[in-house]
Amino acid sequence: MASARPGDGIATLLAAQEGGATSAAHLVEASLHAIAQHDGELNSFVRVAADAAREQAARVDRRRAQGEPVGPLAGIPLGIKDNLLQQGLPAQAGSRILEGFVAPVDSTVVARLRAADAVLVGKTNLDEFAMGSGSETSVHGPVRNPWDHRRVAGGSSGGSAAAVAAGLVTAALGSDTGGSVRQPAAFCGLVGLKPTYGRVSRSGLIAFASSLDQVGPLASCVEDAARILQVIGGPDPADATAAPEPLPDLLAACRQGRAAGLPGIRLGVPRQFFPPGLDPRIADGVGQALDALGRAGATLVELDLPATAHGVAAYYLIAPAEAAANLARFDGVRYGRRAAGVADVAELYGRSRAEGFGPEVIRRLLLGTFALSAGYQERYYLRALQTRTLIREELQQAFRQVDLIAGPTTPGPPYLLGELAADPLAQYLQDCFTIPASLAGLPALSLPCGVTPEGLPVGLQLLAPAFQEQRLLAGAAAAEACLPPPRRLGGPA
Amino acid sequence: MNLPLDELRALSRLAGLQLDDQQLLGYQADLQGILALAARLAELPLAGVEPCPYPRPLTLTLQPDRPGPGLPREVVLRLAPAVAGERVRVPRVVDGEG
Amino acid sequence: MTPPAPRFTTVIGLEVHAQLQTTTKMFCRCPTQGTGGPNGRVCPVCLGLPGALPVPNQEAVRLGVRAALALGCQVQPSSQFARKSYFYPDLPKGYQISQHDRPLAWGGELVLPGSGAEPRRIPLLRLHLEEDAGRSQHVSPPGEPPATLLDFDRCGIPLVEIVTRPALGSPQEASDALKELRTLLRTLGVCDGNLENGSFRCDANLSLRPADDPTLGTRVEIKNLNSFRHLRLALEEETARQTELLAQGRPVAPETRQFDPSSGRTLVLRNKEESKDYRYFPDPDLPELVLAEDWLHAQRAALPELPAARRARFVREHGLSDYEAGVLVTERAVADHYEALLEAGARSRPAASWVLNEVLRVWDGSGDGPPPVPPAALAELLALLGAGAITGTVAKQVWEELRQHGGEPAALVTRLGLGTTTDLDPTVRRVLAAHPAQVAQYRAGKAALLGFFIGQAMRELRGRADATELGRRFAALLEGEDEPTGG
Repeated sequence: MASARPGDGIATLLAAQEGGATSAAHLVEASLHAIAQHDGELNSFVRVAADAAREQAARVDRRRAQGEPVGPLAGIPLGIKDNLLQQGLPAQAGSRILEGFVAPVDSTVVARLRAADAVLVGKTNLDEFAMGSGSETSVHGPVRNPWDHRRVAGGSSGGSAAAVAAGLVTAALGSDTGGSVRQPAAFCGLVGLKPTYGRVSRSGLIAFASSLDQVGPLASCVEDAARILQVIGGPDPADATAAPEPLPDLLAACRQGRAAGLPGIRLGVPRQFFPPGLDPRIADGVGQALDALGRAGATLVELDLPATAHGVAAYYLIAPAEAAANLARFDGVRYGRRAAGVADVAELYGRSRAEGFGPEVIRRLLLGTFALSAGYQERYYLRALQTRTLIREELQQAFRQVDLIAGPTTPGPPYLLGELAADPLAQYLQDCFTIPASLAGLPALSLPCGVTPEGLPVGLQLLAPAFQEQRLLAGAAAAEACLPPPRRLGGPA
Repeated sequence: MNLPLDELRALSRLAGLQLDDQQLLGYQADLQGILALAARLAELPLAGVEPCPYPRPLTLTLQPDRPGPGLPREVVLRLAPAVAGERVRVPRVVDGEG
Repeated sequence: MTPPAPRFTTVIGLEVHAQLQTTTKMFCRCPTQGTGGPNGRVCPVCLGLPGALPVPNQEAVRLGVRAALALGCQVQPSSQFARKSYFYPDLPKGYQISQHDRPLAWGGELVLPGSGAEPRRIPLLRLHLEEDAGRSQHVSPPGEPPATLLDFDRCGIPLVEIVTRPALGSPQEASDALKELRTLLRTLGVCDGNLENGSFRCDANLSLRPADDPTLGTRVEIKNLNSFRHLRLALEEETARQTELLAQGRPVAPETRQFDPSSGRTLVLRNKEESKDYRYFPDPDLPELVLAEDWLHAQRAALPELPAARRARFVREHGLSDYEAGVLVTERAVADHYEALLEAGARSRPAASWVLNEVLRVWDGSGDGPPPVPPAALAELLALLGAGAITGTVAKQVWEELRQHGGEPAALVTRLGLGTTTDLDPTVRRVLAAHPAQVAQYRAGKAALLGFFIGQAMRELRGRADATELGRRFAALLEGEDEPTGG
């Protein structure tokens, strides 16, 4: 019984529980123990809900013992990014301004995980309001990469990535606005899936940029990511942008993909995803992976997607513009932190917000306010929206020739903590390959595809047409089988 | 695109951020750098391209006019940093409309 | 107050906010009505909690479309919600969800009753949907700093905003237009039109231009006009103020002013430099609102007869005056009651007259309550009156009885012994015998005394007689066909 560990993967853990080799109670204790042991250093969790998690695990075990049916994630310990509401727990999104805010309701995704009998162990660290690429801007301090503690775990879902990579939980939810699930997954040697925009309800996700935000899983294998999306996805009347399309059987897609392999699959490789200045460690790592996929039967097709090269510029106008409005509600009036000793309402707003937000958030609020302001909106925000149209059409066009698009997830391997702190623009460019799928609302996934010479993980990104998660997961499962298995970290014993 | 200090001041007012000149100047170079990158969008063939506020075409679905659960007043008041009786309290607003 | 100089023409536009009569709010399912004190009808959405998302109310959309169709607007097959950003404590999200460059409807017109002449047509600019803000209460408790207290129950109540073109020529016309719009929205069941509690609100803008120059002058906005009278007074005062400025050769400042009912003046609220940059942009939480063509057709087909058409029909087909038709149609329930009387067999003129003179005295049709006397009963009463079976005086007595206790008019007339007395002579004789002096004077040529005799007889008969017939009997007896006897 003591051999099962949270990092073993969902299929293994479900089977082990069913066979009596382990129990939800054992798994939650293993998870809590691992957190206690390792997270002081990693800082991946901002809050551990030990009692609630133990109760939930006990309920699952009791139901199993009584022969009652259990959900598809029964007893699986999971982490939840702290920008997702979980009733009764603080939700702070890494920000000082949400000090004291306790979620009065569940987000849709959390409610669905609960209904699937998952065990929610705690809330994971992130960049403040999910704005960042290194999980360094959190009021709770930076997250460390389990592969190399001097390096960032990626962001903004860095806490979720580090927690899964270190085996503290089996999988975790993140949110991806411009790459915030895929990039930390790449940095931590995990699978990170950003679903089609509208596939997963955003209700209860603390909004960063509403037209881009999607909740997605970080997991140690493609199948685990599929299992989680299967539970959290699907229509939701509480989100007007949630798609009415029903979710297909994603687990079956993974299995079919693995069985069918890569022969016949056309993989598009955009030139723009291998720009001249690309870090050679990434170019080599991803290049070798693509070669391996080619050898396994995939047809590689070179693509030219010139508009995608402008994705970062468009994204850093659209996302901050939406954020400037989305974050206007944090004002110290109805909840959260209010600046002390304010004389009038203007000061209440001005100081609560200036003291409550960190510099990266303030930078983006100023930028977004600028992009929408009178006299500039047409030249900046509107042009960005037009660029978005071009990118979307370009990608749509490309999918007439290819089944999936492939390339690196990130322009470089995990950087050192603090390395990019003084250069926001360099940080923004971290998202250059993940942004096109975000702007076009396409499903995309990062898959570990090897390590750099110094042993840092490299991520391969796959993109599929809208609502083709089946195709994406089938392809990813097939690719996963052809790529070197990711080195597993020690994790808890 | 240059962002002179007076423009930064106006922006911070619009954004509801009380920042002093020193703080604002700290953001100046970064913001100008990003706007320089953004200015390159003008190189794209955008004439006649429809602006797209959503990542894909979406149709709005509406909800029936039937009451659903709300938040109990005690929860609302517990969340608020300051209350007076059953209302949320802030320092007095002098201006008419916001 | 200086009268407006004739060389300037007044140009007025209205912006009206009307709360839609839905059960739940615009973007969440909190009830719009209810008791139980402040902050009792809120949820994560209308309170602007993190993570909460708006989902529009289909009934609010239906009511907005209904108003737009009734006003002859071009309803847009696709419109868009936009965020209007500003900070104010009663605006939880820091933005209001409204519609900006793609409203629900463009154009349309408001048809005002003309007195005998052609109806006046006031062109509209646009109509759009938006959400209301909360309520702020400003207090200064002794020994404490002044504070603003917030109640968020009103947050998210659906509103329709209707904007007229600057096409109203006088404060009176502006007030007429607001009244007509209120009648229309009430008729449609779109808004209860209550100005006092703020479910129907109006801002006005006014500019003056030289009579011979079509270019509009500087526009001044006036807020917080919460009655028809305030609207008229504020616009009159503002006309005078601007006329005086222009007469002195001074410019009118483009500003927002507020009407102060206690002084009757308008005061500056904010000037143009302070005017806000609202940074409107499409709300990414809300995809385009697309209306199906067949649904729109069904909405158009479901429109009731509109006040202007109904007024015209009452004049044309029922022979009512413009005034009578106008008053009847002001409240849909009143006009319905009038028509129900006709359906129950009453004739149009007496029915209209009874409604205008008696019914409206006790019931204005604005609440939920039924008319004071059911149409069948009132129609029967009017029939008795019309047939001469009872007098007007008796009819009012029976009306009172019906109002207080109900019943059937004919039975009441019999039970109370109020039927018109046909054998008048005994009474006539008694009256003449009791007033010999007056009889003598009459006979001496003072013919006006006939009225006196009729009055005495009526008093004795408690009104149950036809005055004309009484007069005839008195005249006959006095002029000697019979010698008065008795006494």
